[in-house]
Amino acid sequence: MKTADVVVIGAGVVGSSCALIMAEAGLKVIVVDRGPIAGGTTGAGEGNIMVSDKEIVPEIQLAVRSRNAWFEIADRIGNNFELQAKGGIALSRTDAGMAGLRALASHQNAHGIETIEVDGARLRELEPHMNPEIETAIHYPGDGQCQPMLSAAYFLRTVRHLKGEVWQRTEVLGFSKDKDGSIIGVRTSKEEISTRYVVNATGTWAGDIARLAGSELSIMPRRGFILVTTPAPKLIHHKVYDADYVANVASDSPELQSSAVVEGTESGTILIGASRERIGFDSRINMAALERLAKQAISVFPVLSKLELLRVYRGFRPYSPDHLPVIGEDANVKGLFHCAGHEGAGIGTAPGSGEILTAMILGKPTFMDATPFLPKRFQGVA
Amino acid sequence: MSRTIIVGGGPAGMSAAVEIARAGGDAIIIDSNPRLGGQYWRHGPVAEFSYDGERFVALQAEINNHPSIEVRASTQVWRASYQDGVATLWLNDGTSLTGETLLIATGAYDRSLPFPGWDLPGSMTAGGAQAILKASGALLGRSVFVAGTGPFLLPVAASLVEAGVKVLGVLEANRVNGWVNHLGAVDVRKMKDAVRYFKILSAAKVPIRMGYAIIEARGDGRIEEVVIAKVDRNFTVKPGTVEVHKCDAIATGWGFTPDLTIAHSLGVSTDVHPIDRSVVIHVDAFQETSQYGIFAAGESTGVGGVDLALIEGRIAGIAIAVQRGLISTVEAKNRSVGLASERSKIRKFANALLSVYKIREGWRSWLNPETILCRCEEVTFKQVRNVVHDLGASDVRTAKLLSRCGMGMCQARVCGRMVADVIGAEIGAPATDDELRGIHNRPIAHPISLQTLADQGQ
Repeated sequence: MKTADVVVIGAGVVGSSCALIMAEAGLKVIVVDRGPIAGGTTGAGEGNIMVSDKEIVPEIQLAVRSRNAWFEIADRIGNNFELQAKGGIALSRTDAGMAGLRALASHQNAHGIETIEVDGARLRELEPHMNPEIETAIHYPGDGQCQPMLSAAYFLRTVRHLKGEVWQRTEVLGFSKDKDGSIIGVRTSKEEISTRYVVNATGTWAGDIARLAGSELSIMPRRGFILVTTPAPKLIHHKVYDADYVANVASDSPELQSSAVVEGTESGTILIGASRERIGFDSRINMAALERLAKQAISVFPVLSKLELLRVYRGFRPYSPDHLPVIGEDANVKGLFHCAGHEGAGIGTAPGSGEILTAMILGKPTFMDATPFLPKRFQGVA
Repeated sequence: MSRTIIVGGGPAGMSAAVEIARAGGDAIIIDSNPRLGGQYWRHGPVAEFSYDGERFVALQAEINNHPSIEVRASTQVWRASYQDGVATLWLNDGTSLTGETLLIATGAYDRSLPFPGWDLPGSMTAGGAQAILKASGALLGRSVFVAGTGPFLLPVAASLVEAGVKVLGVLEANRVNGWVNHLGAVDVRKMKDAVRYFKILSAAKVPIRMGYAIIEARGDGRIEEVVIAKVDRNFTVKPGTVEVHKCDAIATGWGFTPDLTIAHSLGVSTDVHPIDRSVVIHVDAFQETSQYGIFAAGESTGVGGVDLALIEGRIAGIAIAVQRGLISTVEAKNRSVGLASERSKIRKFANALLSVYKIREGWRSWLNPETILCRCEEVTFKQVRNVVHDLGASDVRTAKLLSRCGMGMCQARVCGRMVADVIGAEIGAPATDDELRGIHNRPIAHPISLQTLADQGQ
């Protein structure tokens, strides 16, 4: 039987962030995933490290700390994962939309997010190819981007260098508990691991792990498509999105929603996201989603009409009933910590989430009041 | 809806269209090339062939004479789906086609193996070299080596000679003595073809060297010389046999990979071929796939050459006519006399060729760390090794995504299979059947203009 201080289930960006921060804190970590590294939602994301789309105060706090943590990690382990502080631009072509963006910006500004309202001339400097009809926008210098799969892989590489282990293609079969019901071990398809702490970082599948441990957690999938164009010389410099994006994230309507989020990548391809559909794990392509994304992207950057669509990603973003992530100890099973339900923000907010969990496990103060993230809010325990 | 959609206007698609039309049915052939004929009968604006042109001319004449066959050339399918018994194809002109009956006749493309310098200008695939010759008559170089494995090297070398190119040698990596006799026992036409190629090559004094391979190409900005060597039965270089030759182009061919992109999108069941592990469409005796109403013929059901493609196309066309209620099963039997036995005879022979001209594992020893595996994204062998050994990629997909190998414009058509083999060797476990299938997973079959895509919704 193996022994670990913490077993992290899930080798996506959230699990690997937790594992990295815990390993750096001196904990012996074993990461277990039923598939390969970054084989789930992490492998199907744009790599958003966004502060600009956050509205609720705890979310803003998590995003701001996480954004800084990303760059600190890059300083510590080397930036091998295309991390860039490229900045974001939020725009709207209606007066009401801009008024909403301004109000959001001033609220965000009060909570530590840098926001700059820019006019048409400045906008053209920032994005020369943007539709000239767009005359004003909010610039968020803090928004960033990374390559999420490489991030997870390099985080886990560091974990291995810190004497941690990564067990791929290993299924979690169950949990061993002591007579008080606290976790004392994880049974896997490989071998059992003796541990007091388990981190459930299985994203969209987090409810399955919670059930396996004898608890429950409501995390649901939301399908998103991202279009990838053929490689082009650098045309788009920021993460550019329109205000509907923010509105869509908070919406509870199951039907197709989309609004263009357009950005370039280091490999030259341009990513156009992101549609949102709450229709379970249906991996079929929805033509309407692709058409709409293309149309919206071209309306922001007419130059895109000349590019070609090369690939489509589809991913299932994990979301909780109140759209906030679930970070903290399970209300029913002692020793089981969840870190899931980050929805479309999982890449960006992974390091901060890992810091919160590490502090909780070590019994240290968290950098923010993490009460709003605790799983007990859904688990009926006061 | 009653019209049969045929994807691919090569030998299989053409012969199926003719059978459907003979039975009184309608068909539409979609092909990305400007003209019918596929790779085998690729030609310029004028249908001129140095050999085996009669069959093409006859098929094309019959297609032209049937008003019930529509040909849509220069048209690419960028997406395909099959739902509730209906197949839908989205075309690059912004239109789409739906039908209850569809034939996949998408053929195959060249299989490539990398070696140091294979990405230099002047290096091309055997099929690519022949296509350039056939389509435009342009010369690739003045002095050329043809290398690789398979019977296809001979016609390529012969057509280069006929076009006035100096062919410095045909290097066949496998040792295949007496295969011509083997051919004659099965197929007189193939025997005659082979004799013709040998005559052309020997008249031009082109050496044919068995058990030799190009292991490196060198040059400043384009190919100036090649390193060739004798290889053993596993394709490993035999010490002391290395030669350097001046040349200005090379054409290398390592057999073919069936094009399964559309098949994959339509969700048909596939098999992994027991001999060369290529992914092929699973069809029944009537060339019907696992999806009702979706048929397949030609190379996409397993590489077998033009004669097999023609026969499979006919069988599929007749079966489609029966399924559409155009002819009775009795009539179908009359029209199919001898086809099934001919198909199994050629298939058997094709499989024998696949065994003889197999790609042996030793080719990987030709690679050096800087050898580019993925030309689109310029990913080196060293980078692929790195994502496996340093980053922990433990399967083909993860290694691809982490290294960007196979993520470029060609969507891994060129490198997918070979990279899967390299990654499998690095991981220590050969690519699984499903990983090989995954190479053909291209929801966007061909790049499509964003404007065309945006306009579809209107």
